[in-house]
Amino acid sequence: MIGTMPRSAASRGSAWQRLRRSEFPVALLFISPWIVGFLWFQLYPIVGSIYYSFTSYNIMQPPVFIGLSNFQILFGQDPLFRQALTNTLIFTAVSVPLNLTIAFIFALLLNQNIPGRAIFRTCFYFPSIVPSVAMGTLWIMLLRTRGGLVNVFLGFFGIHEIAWLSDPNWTMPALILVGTWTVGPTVVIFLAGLQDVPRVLYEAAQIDGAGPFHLVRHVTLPMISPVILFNLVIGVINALQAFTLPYVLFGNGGNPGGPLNSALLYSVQLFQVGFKQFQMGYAAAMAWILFVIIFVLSLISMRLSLRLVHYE
Amino acid sequence: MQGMINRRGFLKTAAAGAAVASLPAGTALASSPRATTTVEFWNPSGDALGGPLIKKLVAQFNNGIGKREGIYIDSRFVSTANNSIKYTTGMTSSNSPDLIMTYGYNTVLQWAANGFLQPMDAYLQQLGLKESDFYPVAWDMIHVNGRIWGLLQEFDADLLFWNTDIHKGPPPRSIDELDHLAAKYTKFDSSGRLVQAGIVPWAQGGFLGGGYGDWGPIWGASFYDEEKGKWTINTPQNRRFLEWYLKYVKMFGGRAKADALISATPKTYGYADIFNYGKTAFSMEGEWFPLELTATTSKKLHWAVSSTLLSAPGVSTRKMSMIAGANLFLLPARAKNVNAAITFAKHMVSVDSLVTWALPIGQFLPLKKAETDPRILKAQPWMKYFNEALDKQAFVTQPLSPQFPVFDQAMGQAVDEVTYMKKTPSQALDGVAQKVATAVSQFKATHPNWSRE
Repeated sequence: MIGTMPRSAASRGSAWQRLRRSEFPVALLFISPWIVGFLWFQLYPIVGSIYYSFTSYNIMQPPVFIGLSNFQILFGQDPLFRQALTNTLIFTAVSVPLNLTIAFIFALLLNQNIPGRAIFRTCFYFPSIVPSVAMGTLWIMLLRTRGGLVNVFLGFFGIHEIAWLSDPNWTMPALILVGTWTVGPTVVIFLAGLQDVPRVLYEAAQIDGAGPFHLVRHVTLPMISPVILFNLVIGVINALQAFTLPYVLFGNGGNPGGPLNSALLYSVQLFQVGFKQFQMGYAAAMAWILFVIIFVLSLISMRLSLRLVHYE
Repeated sequence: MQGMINRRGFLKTAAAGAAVASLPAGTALASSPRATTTVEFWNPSGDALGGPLIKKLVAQFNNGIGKREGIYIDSRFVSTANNSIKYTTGMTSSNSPDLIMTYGYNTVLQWAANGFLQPMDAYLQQLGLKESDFYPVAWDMIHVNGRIWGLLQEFDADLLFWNTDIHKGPPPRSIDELDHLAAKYTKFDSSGRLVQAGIVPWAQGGFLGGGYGDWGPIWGASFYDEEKGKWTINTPQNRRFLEWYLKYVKMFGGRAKADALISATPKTYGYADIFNYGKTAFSMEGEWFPLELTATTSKKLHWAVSSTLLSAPGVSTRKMSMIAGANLFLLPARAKNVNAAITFAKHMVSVDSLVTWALPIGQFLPLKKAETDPRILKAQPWMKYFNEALDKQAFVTQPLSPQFPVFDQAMGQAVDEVTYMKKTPSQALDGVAQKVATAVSQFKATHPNWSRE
């Protein structure tokens, strides 16, 4: 009897009835496949890997809790961890700005109204859709010390053959060089940003006597700074997680870290530890350390963007 | 009208009938029509030599013993590229294969120690095998920590081959003689590039990275005490082969020159074939080399081999090679059809099957009766020298430890560190010892039942 019910209960009843009448349950039903997928394929593995990072676990036998031991060994006793982390940070610090610069220059060129622009865009984008393994195999041939096309080309300028893949001093430059081949998607994103810059700003600057350099420096760059930030963050994340190219370049019958592990990247070492040494707990600990590094770097980028990025 | 079949009814009936009719056909796709047990057999034989042989042996079984016993072998090819990872993933899943075949030995004890494999001791009688049937070194490879972990199909070991177009005389008998000849045959072009070498020891010392698998035993190295099951890495004796490597680094004018020579040569199985392509006078190669040379290159290499065991200064033992390559049949821990898998494995390691495998390839066979089969020596006269060396106990097992993959990777780096002049042999081996010690302590904490390091 509704009239004798306490006020709060009556309110709850009507709220429930409102909910039942609303579209919420139907909406929930429609997005439930994604929710189930997220819970099972993303959240559960994430939570699981946090737990496994504190255990010794080889998949077949139950995990054995060992506390912080994995992290202690990583930071205190594992020289390969330190080397992989150092190599990865160097790779990221050099390849990301380099790729951004190259992509920006290509985008500027492609933004010009020249005949055959669509063909050029296709040519620049095409390498990024080549499968990574095929690309790596191709680059092994291109980077051969003797007879490789890169050294043949450099030979025309009198540069003596460089042992790109077998000299520890040149393996990192080789990785960085190969990485520049996939700037296509970055170029496309920059191009979209460039085409969004209002022409009236360029015209106004030209009226004030700005030359091409000033136009780029004072109009283009500020206006596409959000795009630069996006490409920077994505570039850093991808570089810190680079795996396929270095593994294919150096892992074919040899040490996937290259000579003296000079090209050993973090993800490659994580893969080795997890799938060749069957230390899944140790690999999980490495994965979480990488997550923290990526998180901190992304946070720094976001904080810097408050000062350096221009939003309209 | 009542009793008449309408169009919808007809279509529904037809569809139901088709579904019922296709059911046995669909089942037949997964298994032989008359089989009661299907054995899922994973193997890496997609290569030019091994692929047809495995198909032949599987077909022999399916048409013979398999038909009689109601067993069908479902052979699945798994590429050798990283197949250790694919095998591990498969074996740890609920849909594990029933039997796997490997083209390598490196990960077997690691799998065994981690519980991925089940021991085969209980099936030896069913297999009709006993210890005395095997060569001692082959038995030692499968009988570890008191259990039998697999069945060898073949194993590989190396002897010194030479290019008879470059070196026309008898083979060197000692390291000193080898050094003298190597210096004689090392040639540079006018711009100082290395164009021919006597031998590049770190690249021509067997399957194991850095050549320690051959040159280590030749120089008397012993990295693992098999009796005690403990690692013995950084010892003066173990450093000697690395010190010898430095002689060749100096001879070439730096490691980079040898790398340049190697990079210009095509690769087979991921290894540069500098001997196959006539770039070096000598090389440590395996018993499989002559037939693989014919199958994979069109080069006409004139070669010779002998059972001469190289002597090294101050080394009393005469060992030539660590057994680093081997094909094995392994029983995953989660295999469902174990007895049927064992019946098939028995067929694969029978003398006839082993000889069928070895004849086109050239392999050491683990069973004495198979290895001394007259068909082998008739087809592969060079096996005479390998058998002589085997009788002289010139071959040793690789360290029989679950930490071997860690050791192997670390040794490859140690060789690089020494030959790139970044570390002394002692420093390099110290680094190896530390990495292995860390792996051992992590292993022991969670594997108390495995007594060997």
